[in-house]
Amino acid sequence: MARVVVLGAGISGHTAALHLRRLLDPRHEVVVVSPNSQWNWIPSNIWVGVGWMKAQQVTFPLRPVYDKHGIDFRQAKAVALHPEGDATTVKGFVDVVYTDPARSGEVQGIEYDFLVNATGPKLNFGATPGLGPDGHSLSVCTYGHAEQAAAALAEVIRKLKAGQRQTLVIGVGHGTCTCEGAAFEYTFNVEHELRAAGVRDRAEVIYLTNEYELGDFGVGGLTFKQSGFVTSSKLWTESLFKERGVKSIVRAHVQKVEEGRLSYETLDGVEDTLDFDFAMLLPPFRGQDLQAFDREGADITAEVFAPNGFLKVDADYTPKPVEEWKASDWPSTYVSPRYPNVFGVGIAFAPPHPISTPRKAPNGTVISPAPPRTGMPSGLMGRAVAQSIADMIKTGSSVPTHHASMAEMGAACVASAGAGFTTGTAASMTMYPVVPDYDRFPGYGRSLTETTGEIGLAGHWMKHLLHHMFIYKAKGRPGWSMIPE
Amino acid sequence: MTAAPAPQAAEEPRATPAGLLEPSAFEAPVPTERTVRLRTNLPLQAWRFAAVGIRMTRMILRSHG
Ligand SMILES: Cc1cc2nc3c(=O)[nH]c(=O)nc-3n(C[C@H](O)[C@H](O)[C@H](O)COP(=O)(O)OP(=O)(O)OC[C@H]3O[C@@H](n4cnc5c(N)ncnc54)[C@H](O)[C@@H]3O)c2cc1C
Repeated sequence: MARVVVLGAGISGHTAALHLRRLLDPRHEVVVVSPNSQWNWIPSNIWVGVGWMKAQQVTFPLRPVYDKHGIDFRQAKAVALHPEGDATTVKGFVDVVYTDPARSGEVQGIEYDFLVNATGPKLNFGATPGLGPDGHSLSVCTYGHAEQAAAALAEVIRKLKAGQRQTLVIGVGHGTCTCEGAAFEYTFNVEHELRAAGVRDRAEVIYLTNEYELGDFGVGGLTFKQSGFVTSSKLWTESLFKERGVKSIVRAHVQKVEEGRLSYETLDGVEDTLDFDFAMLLPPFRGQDLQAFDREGADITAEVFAPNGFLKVDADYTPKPVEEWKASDWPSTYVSPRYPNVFGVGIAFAPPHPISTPRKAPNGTVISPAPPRTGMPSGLMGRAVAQSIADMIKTGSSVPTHHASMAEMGAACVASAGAGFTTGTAASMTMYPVVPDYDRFPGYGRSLTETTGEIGLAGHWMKHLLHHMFIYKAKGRPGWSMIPE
Repeated sequence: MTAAPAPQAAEEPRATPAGLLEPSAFEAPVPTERTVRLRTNLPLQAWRFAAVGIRMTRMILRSHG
């Protein structure tokens, strides 16, 4: 009998757990450890953040799903890994602290044969003084944050209707943020809401980003074919900003946020402040605060995790200049180089380097996006790791059998630009591969036929369909495994 | 002798924040009214929905190896 412990029940961990349960016979145990009792379809938090959906529409309780599928759910937070066991056991185990109200604060060591770290990002609001809902800006990263943002937006609209002018700043709250696509999406949803409320003329909407230029999205921008031309996501995105009258500040690092004012610096070393009435600024991400100890109890956190807190896996972490970056730097099995039974998937694995060109201001401040690990890649990694572990359990092999490199997979991104069944629009983008591979696709690094972009109501319907499809799949309803990640 | 302090000027209108890009400054093409209308034209968008769906499915299948 083997026990697989999955840490985290987000897109990657939940996918891994459901597939593990499907692939392993019932004498093997699948345990999921996650601090939140709810599953959240995070992409739709954007719609919660404009008041178009309620939190209940983007979440559901995990326990009934796990009970139905025979998965052992522990509502708890992992705090430390002991991959070599300790003086009392040779088996690896993980220390967890229960958040389940019935066992709150209880500490337990859970032994495992295989461990999947899918703990996602720590929302690192602390990196920028005053950033976040506990400071002076809003977020849409969790459904709770998104509900607060929706209430603040409703208040802004009320003031605009009363004839006041308002400045809305939306973007990222630090020079090293990722997830610019989400900030972009929220910007245009808010802009759409202002227009629908008939108050757009009194509102100034500013998108503030660490991207070198609009349309970078943390993937170094995209190139695709349109109307017989090869065009760039920069031009495409600028066109949308121009059409919708959205101002922007690019190449920016937010230094601090105070009540109604943020301070920022730009890549060329200029510092300034920006006054606002509403600011939704995403935080930078880092790994959860997990520690690791060897058999003797010595702290090996720095060997198991990268300095940013993400788990080191089978990537090439040798520091190298951009010109020497290769598709093969990116991991494909997500196994820890130190422990063949420990894996890191989704946002929790440490990327070898960014995808966008890294840049620094004259004073050394890094102002360039970290690489995104979006929903589809996260799900694909979760599935590949589940398949590898299932094979390893069945055959006794210590070599993972399945691969899911971000340099060999695409991503579909449907960035809603306004909700409404007949009035909504969305920018639907596909890219293949996520990490450019200049050996396979000389010139642009990505396939020109599989990398596409278009704007229209069809994208909004697609986003809606994906919302329902992925919630259906995550609920483990009949046929769930037929729905791709 | 020190010069008398200059009389306090009334608050200046705020200068444009550093790096602020006015959307009108972009060289990018702007869609015509017709193009914007077509983005929410139901028959056309039904067809685009099918096309985007096929494109995404192809890419998803390729990614699933
Ligand atoms: C606002 C927003 C919009 C987005 N929109 C899109 C989109 O349109 N399309 C797209 O593809 N991607 C989108 N993304 C990205 C997408 O949400 C992520 O790629 C995806 O959630 C990553 O999955 P994950 O499993 O790595 O992390 P998560 O989904 O964040 O899951 C992490 C899990 O780990 C748990 N956890 C945390 N700490 C611990 C601990 N110590 N112990 C155990 N468990 C722990 C958490 O509770 C959670 O269950 C968006 C992200 C944001 C923030």
